[in-house]
Amino acid sequence: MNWNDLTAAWRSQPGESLVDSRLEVLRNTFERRSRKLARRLFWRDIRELVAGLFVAYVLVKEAIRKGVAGWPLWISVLLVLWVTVGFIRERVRAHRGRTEPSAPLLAKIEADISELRRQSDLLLKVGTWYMAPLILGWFIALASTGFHGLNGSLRTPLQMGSYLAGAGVLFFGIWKLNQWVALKKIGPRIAELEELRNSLVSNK
Amino acid sequence: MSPKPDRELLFKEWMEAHGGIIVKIARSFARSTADLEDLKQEMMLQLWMSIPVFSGEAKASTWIYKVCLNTALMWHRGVGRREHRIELGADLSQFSTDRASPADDAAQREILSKLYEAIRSMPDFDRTLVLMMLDELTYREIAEVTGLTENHVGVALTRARKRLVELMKGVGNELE
Repeated sequence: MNWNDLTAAWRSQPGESLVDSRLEVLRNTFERRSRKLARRLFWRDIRELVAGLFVAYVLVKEAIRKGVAGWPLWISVLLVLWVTVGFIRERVRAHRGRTEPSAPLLAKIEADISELRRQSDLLLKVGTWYMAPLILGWFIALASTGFHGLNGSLRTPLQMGSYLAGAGVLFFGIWKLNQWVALKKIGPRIAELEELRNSLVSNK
Repeated sequence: MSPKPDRELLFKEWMEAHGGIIVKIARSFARSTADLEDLKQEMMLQLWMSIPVFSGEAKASTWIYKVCLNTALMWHRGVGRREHRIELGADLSQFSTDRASPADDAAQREILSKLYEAIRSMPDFDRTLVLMMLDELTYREIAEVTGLTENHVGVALTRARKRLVELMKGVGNELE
């Protein structure tokens, strides 16, 4: 078959019309879906915000209760808020930087690669921008209590050891999970998009 | 066209006049009936959402190609990983886009089926190019959709066309 035969076969398809009298149903479905997505994103951001503010509130309360001796806790508060604000700022940036679905293919692919690279970078460096301030804040809060428990009694070395080991495992788990997502989930997707981008710009 | 077109009216117009683009792209990217429906829904949704930013300066068909090909390429890549789709239930299934088979002639239908099969087996970019070429978009329009220069489009089109003809070699003879 030559090219002309192929175009002739292609043209034999009628110009299918997708119009339907139930357009109202379609519109409602799309609107509902858009609203659901927007709601989900909104509550996700609110959750981050509330969690950060809650931890900060607990620390502030403790700092006030301790008076002058509680000053190190204020550093913890600042560190926790720094992470929370960083989170929200990143979400707002990602939302504003979205590429329109009608962008040219190359521009859309480039934008998606760039966004995924940024996400991957943030996940790979989660130890520095997210965990380090939290660990530091947590450690300051711990030290400011003089390593005393909630009831005021000094923790035994075993209790302290278990406490630190538990926290270590938790932080390591968070770090590991982020590395895994960046390398195993986002990495292959970037590679796929790069391959597509290369096929677009290559003349071979 | 007014700067702020009535969303519903414009969508209806697009579906009436250019619904075939959605069907053709979906058939060229989806390998199963479920995927076909899924992709069509996704493209229609993206088109619906793109209307507020459609100024009317671009040709509707070029706009639809851009939105739908972007959707298809991203959908294709995420097909195994995409999050669980929000269940649309029976609502959209009512909007069946697969009307009775277009070609009356059985041989023509068979050729079309082989043609879609060949297109699906092509690399993503070649696939998008041959789709637009078969629908007779101009170099300028294809360049606008892809973001490439017209020269680049010309070179890539020649390559993609050769590849498709090669894939379809012998199909006519088979059917005789």
